Amino acid sequence: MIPFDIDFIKPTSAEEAAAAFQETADADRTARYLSGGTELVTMARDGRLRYDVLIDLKGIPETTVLDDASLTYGACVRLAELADGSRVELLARAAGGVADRTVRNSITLGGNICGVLPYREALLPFLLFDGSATIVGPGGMRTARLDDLFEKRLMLEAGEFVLSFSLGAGAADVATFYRRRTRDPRVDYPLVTLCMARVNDGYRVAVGGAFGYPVRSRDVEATLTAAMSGTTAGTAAAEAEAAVARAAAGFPDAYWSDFRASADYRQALLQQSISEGLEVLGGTR
Amino acid sequence: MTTTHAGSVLGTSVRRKDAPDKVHGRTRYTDDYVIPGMLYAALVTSPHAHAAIASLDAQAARALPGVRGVFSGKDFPIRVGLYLGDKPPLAVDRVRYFGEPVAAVVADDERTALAAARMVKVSYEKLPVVRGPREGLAADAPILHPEMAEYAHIPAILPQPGTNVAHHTRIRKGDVEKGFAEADVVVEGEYSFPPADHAAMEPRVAIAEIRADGRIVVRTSTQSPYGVRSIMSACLGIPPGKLTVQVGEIGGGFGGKAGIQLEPLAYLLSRELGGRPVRVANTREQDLVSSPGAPGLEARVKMGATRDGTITAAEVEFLFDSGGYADYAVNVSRAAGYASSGPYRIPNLKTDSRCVYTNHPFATAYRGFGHIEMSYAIERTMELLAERLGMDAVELRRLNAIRAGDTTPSQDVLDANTGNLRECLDRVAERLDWSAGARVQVSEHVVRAKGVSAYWKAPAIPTFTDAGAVVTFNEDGSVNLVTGAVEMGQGIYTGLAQIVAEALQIHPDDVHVVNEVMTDRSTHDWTSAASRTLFMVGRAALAAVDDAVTQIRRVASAPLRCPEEDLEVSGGRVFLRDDPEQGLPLSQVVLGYVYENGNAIGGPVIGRGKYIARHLSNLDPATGKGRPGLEWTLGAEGVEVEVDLRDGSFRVLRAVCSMDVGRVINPALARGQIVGAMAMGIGYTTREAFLFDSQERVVNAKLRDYKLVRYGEQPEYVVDFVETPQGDGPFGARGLGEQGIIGMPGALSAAFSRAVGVQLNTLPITPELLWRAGRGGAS
Repeated sequence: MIPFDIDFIKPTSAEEAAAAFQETADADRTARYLSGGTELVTMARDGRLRYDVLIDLKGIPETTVLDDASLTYGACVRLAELADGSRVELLARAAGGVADRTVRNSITLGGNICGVLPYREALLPFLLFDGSATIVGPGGMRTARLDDLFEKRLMLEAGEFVLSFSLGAGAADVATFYRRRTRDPRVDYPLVTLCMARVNDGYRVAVGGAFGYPVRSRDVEATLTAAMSGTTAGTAAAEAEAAVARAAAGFPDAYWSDFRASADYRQALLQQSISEGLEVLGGTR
Repeated sequence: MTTTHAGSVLGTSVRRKDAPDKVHGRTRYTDDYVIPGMLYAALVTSPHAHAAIASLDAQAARALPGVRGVFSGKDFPIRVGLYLGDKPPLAVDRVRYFGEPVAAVVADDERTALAAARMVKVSYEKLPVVRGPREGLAADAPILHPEMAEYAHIPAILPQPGTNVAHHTRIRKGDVEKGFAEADVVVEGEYSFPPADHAAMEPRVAIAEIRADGRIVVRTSTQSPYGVRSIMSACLGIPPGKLTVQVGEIGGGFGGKAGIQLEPLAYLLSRELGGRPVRVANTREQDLVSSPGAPGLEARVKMGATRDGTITAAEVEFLFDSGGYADYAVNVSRAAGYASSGPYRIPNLKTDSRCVYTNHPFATAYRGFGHIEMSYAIERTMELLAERLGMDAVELRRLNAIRAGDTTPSQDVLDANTGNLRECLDRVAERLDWSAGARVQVSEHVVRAKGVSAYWKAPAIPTFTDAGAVVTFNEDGSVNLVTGAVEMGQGIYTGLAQIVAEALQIHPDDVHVVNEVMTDRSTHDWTSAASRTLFMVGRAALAAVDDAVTQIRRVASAPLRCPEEDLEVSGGRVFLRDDPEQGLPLSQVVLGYVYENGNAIGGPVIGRGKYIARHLSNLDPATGKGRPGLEWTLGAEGVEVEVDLRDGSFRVLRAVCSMDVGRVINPALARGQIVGAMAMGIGYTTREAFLFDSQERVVNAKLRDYKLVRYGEQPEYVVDFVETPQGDGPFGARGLGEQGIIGMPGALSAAFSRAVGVQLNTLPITPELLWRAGRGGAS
């Protein structure tokens, strides 16, 4: 049970939502944008979160778009809808890996990416394919590259919310690899979620879980691409393994350690996952 | 009576009586009762594992509209306990574990109570923590219960004031020095696991009210309605006849609802508020840590054997992690002591089993009750011994398997009712394809490995454990059965209906079991725990049927004009044994027989039945000599696991159990109990454990982080019953409800150890642990 009163607003346009947020702030009250609600409900229940007003974004038409043709995905699209309905395989798999079916029926793309929990796994395909986000706030609407916007989390201004996310062109046409590892039960937060793609004989690598928040490292991608292009079939195995070890050690971020797993186990899982990814994607070797 | 019945219903899978309501969501659990005028309590709990309560400021909470009162430990200066009265309903002056309730807010509705609870400001001064039982025994350890000498306790429990030891069980059998001298090999191991929780589906809840005439009514989710009555009576000075405890069906027990839980606090709060009904309900998070869970263990076992594998001696030390309070853990540690040989013939045995206070969440009964903890340590040692001897793990267990004529650790001779453990082991080996290899390399990185274990269990019950039953009849001759047994998902009402149906040779649908216990009108019963309910209440029900049959024959002998002893009651009729055509339907007899002219005789038949445990005796404090166990259930288990050696990830592929259950009453129910227990054992072994930070605060105290086994992860289960009749059990049956869990930690640990090539001596066994072990990082 949530032991406090909440005003519930369900606007039908983005402008209306942003205005409602502003009005709440002006009245010295706390507003939260509501999408799937899985975090807002559980965290209010156990006392870690408190708010006066919830502004439900699901009534805004742009937030519920699921369009593989334009590679545009509304922030309020459920992860289960993406997993079942998107033909972009990596996006479908990244969405389908989170939580369990019942919870994915609630969690939305925007909620998974903009919520409190650090993992934000649904963001990985968007990082990998140079995606962007369309954002609405008190200052109007803007579109930003996720590369610029994302620093452990989306750096949104007060009162801003994401209307939709877009993948870069070509995302649907390249070979991709997805691997998600957990402590033991599959339904748990990730120790490692690896999204890889091979684009024009270069590798792209985005990682969730291993560092807590998602990371895409161009340096690591360059390490892998260079190592693999230099190898030939006869000499590949040992050199590839060394390159993968270098890659796994080459992330600028510190591996995360908590009760679910130690940092070195996370690193070992990532290294193993990258090896599997290279095997599946094939190389220039 | 709608149906008559010919033939036995024993050994058939009669549909569960509780199933239709449960699958339709209509079972009424305790929290489904909303009583007019009911007030709602919310608990304020400690964020520290050990701290002095410096101040408690409830001003803001009290000022919230709808709040009826805020209470702290100082308002209720009493101590309550099951065996040892060590726990105040709300912490007084200091907290001893993370999650301990320090204050209760009572309000007109749940929402207000929860909101107000968040406004209670408590300041603490942290105290040094006791991180585990061995640390708790250290000379310089903080003493968690300095007032232990004042605590009331039952004579069988031996607290040691000035220490952290709440109880110490000693087993001294034979001569261990001589036994080790006879041994050709001696192995020794240390084993441990942290405390855990039952995680029953229904969180604990109690509603108490005091009526205007002084009667107290407590509706609660308990396995022990009569236990709650007697402990509340003793600790709170309430005459037992003035206190009625009411229990409907409960949503899972597993030991977590045995003993006494939230009931005293609900009563005390009601008393403060003019007797209005007060509901005290755990949130899921409070149910995990604030109410008691399963104990942790630190163990050392030394075992000696001759070259051919015959065990000559063992020396066992169990240190139970009881957490902040003793609760059932004192008796859990005692049970582990009296069972400490495992199901093996060990002529020379020295065991010290201590229940030690620590700053962990406190511990109560958990499925297996001392035997699961004991079994893990003994089975690990059996694997060490097999490895050292170079002997087959099944053969070593087979060779030493206990049998009739052998003595238990308490020097009690096993009688002719003893089950056939060798047969169980043989069947497990066969069903597991043991001879096909215990470790098989499937691919470059993947191995499949098997592990086996043997187990035993005797209920850890008072020597005077009892059960009662009453049967009455309806106009159509059908039967009502009143008992003190609690249905918690184990299917007890169905099993009892089958026993009564069998005795009367009627259809189980014609046996109506009253599915609620009320202590003022049900029959006295010790507790629905210890896998003794079907055995004891079954015996009482059979006695009640006998008594009713005697009455039916007496009444029927007049209209049938024959000696009572010539009459038989079966299939819904009473008739002449040698001329069955001459008889009457029960419907004409059970409420009195009416002659054609209107004269009537007899009146309602009311059958009374009772049972009390036989031959049980207390353990000698110095040697452990005595008879603690009513009946021993023996069994064996085996598992096959698949492990990826690169990262330690694994699957449990197969889990096999063969148990000597005496007689199967209902195969589906029996299999359900055993498979459920095995599944719980997989969780216990691989993930269900509390994890602590450096201050001994629980870091995974919510189901986001405390993971249970899901349906999709279940292995293939094989259950194979052996039936060596238990002469004094109902139709030869013995207890089987808990036993399926006991051998799982041992069997799984053996399989995982075999897979990675390292003996694993801690739980939980996670993929990371296996990965580290494979790299030489764990032992």
